[in-house]
Amino acid sequence: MTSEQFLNLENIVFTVTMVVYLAAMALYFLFFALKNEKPGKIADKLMVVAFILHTVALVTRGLGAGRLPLTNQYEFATSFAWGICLCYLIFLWKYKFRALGAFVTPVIFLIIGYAAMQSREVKELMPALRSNWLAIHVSSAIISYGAFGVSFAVSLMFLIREKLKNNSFWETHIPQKEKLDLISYRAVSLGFLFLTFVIISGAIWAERAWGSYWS
Amino acid sequence: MMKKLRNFIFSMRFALILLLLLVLACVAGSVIPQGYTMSYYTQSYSQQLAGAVLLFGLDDVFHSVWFIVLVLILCANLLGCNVLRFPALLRRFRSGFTPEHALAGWDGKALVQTHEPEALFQKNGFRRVKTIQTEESRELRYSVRNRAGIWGAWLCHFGMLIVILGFGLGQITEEEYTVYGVPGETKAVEGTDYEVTIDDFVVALRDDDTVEQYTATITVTDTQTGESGGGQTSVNSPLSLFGMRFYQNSTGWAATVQIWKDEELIQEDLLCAGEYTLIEDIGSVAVMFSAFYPDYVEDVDGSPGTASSRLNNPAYLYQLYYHNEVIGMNVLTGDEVITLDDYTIVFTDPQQYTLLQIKRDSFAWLTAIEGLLVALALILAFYLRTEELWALENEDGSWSVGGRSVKGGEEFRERIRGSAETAEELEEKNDV
Repeated sequence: MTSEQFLNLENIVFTVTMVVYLAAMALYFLFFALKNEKPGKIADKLMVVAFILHTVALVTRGLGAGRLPLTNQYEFATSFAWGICLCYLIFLWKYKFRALGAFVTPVIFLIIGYAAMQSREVKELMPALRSNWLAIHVSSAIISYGAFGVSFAVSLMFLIREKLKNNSFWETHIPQKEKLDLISYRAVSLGFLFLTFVIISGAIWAERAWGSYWS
Repeated sequence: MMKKLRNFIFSMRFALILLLLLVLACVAGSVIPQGYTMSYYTQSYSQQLAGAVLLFGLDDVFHSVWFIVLVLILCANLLGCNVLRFPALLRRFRSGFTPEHALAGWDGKALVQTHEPEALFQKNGFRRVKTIQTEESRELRYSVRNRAGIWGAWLCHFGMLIVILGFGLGQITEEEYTVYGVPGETKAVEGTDYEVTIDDFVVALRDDDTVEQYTATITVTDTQTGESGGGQTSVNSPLSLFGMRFYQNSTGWAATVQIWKDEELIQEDLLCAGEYTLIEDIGSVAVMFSAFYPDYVEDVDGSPGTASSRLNNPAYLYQLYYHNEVIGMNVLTGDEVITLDDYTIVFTDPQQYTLLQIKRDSFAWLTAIEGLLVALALILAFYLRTEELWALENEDGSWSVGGRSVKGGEEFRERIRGSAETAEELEEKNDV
C-alpha cells in the first residue's frame, strides 16, 4: 500500500472509531440512567472495539506518514484520546468498574472531536522535532494524560456518590467513596509517574536541540 | 519557640506555601514577556501596570532577588525536611519491621482466620517468613515486603533538591558563548582560548522546500596549545569537544557588500542580516544589510517577502545612515545597486551563515542523576508499598491473621481477605 492509501484508510477508520465511541457513550448513558446492565455490557464491548479501531487508525497514520503519529495537533489529540481509552480499559479490567464509562467516554469523545476538527495534513518534521526523544516524550505524555483523564472521571463520581440513592444497582456498580478515592489515587499516581518521564525526557530533548534544559 | 519555628520551616505546609508562591511567580514569568523596557510594557499594558511590572521585578522574574530567595528557602525546607526525617527513616528501615513491633502495635482484631497461613503468605507475595514464640508461647509468623518503599517520598524530596542544586550550580558556573559565520571563516570564541573554523554549512532542503536539517562542520582549535578537534553539529545532535558542547542553534543570510569608487573596489565586507558597515572613505555613512529574501516576492500590500528558501530571485533590504539618521531604504533585486555621490554600493554573493551556541556546564551530570533519582523515588513511593503480614496461632489450631500497609490500608485488607478465601478454597479442593 502507498502512503496515500494508508492515509485514506486512516481517515475511514478514524471516522468509524468516532462513531463507535459515540455509540459506547450513548449506551453507557442508558446504562447509568436506566440502571440496566445490558447497555453497559454492550458498551464495554464497543469500547474494546473502538480501542482496536483507534489503534489501527494510529498505526495506519504512522505508516502513511512514515513516522510516529505524535507531531501535530491532530495526531496528539487523537493519541491523547487513545491514551484515555487505554487507561480506562485497564481500570475497567482491574476494578470491574463499568459505571466509569459513563464519565470517561464523554471526555474521550470531546477530545477525539477536537482532533477531528484539526488539519490532518501530513507534513515533514522540522529539524528540532527529528529526535528519538520525541517518541519517548510524547508517548509518556499520552499515558500520563490518559491516566489523568481517568482520574478526572473517577473524581467526578466521587463528588456525586453521596447524591446517589443507596440501592443495589449503585452498590454494585459504583464503589463507596473510600474506594473511589483509592482508584483516583491509583490513576493520579500512574499519571504523575509518567508525567515525570515527560518532564525529564523533555528536558533532555530540549538540551540536545536548543542547548538548554528548560527554556 | 525556636523549635516550633524550625518545625514550621521544615514542614510540608510551609513547602506547599513556597511552592504556591513559586508557581505564581512562574506563571508571571511565563505570561509577561521578559527582559523588555518600560516603553514596551507601557505599550502592551497600561502605564500603571507597566510600573508594577518593573517595580516587582516581573520583567525578569527568574533572575530577580525575591525569586532566588524563594528558591533558596525551598532548598532549606527540602534539606531540613530530609535531614530531620533521615534518622527515623533509617531506624525504621533497619529495625522497624519486626514481629515484635507488629505484635505490639496490633489491636488483636484479625483480618481473617485461616488454617493455612503459609498459603496466605505465598499467595500475597510474602516470601521470607519469620517465626517467633510469643510470651504466651504461641507461634507468630511474620513477613514484610517492599521495605525499600518507605524511602520513596524521602528520595523524591532529595531528588528535587538535587535538581535545584544542579540548576543553581550550573547557572553560576556555566559558560555560554555564541559564534557565527559562513564557511571559510574563523572566529574567536570570546573569553576563551579557542577559535572556531566553519569548514562547511549545509542546509538540506526537501523537494517541498522545507528544511530537513542544518549541519555545520567545524574545527575547534586551542590557540594556546595548538590542539584541535572537529566534527559535525546539527539540530538535536550537538558536538562535544574540549569539555564544551557546540549546538547548531540558528541560521540566517549573509552577503558581501562592496563599496566602489570610480570603478575601483575600495571596500568589501561580509555582513550578516542585521549588521552594518561604515563606508570608511566617508566615515559618516553606514550601510545596513537589514534583511534578505532568497526568492523575492511582494505581498498584496506591497511588503517584501520570500516565496521559498531557494535562491531563485535574491533581493536585499538595506538602509543607509548618515550620522545615525536613516537617509535611504529600499530593496535591491537583480543587478540593482545603490548610488551615493561617487560611490556605488553592491550587494552580492548571498550565503547562509550558521550560528553556533557553545556551552560548558560542569553540573549537567547532576541533572541526569536527579532524573533517575526522582523516577526511582516515584516507583518506590507509588508501587512498592511496604506491607506487613502476620499470623498468630490460636489454641484451636487456627491462625488469626493481621497486617498493615503503609498506604491503601482498606485495599490491602480486602486483598488479604479475598486471598484468604481463595487459599482456603484451594486447600479444600486439594483435600477433595
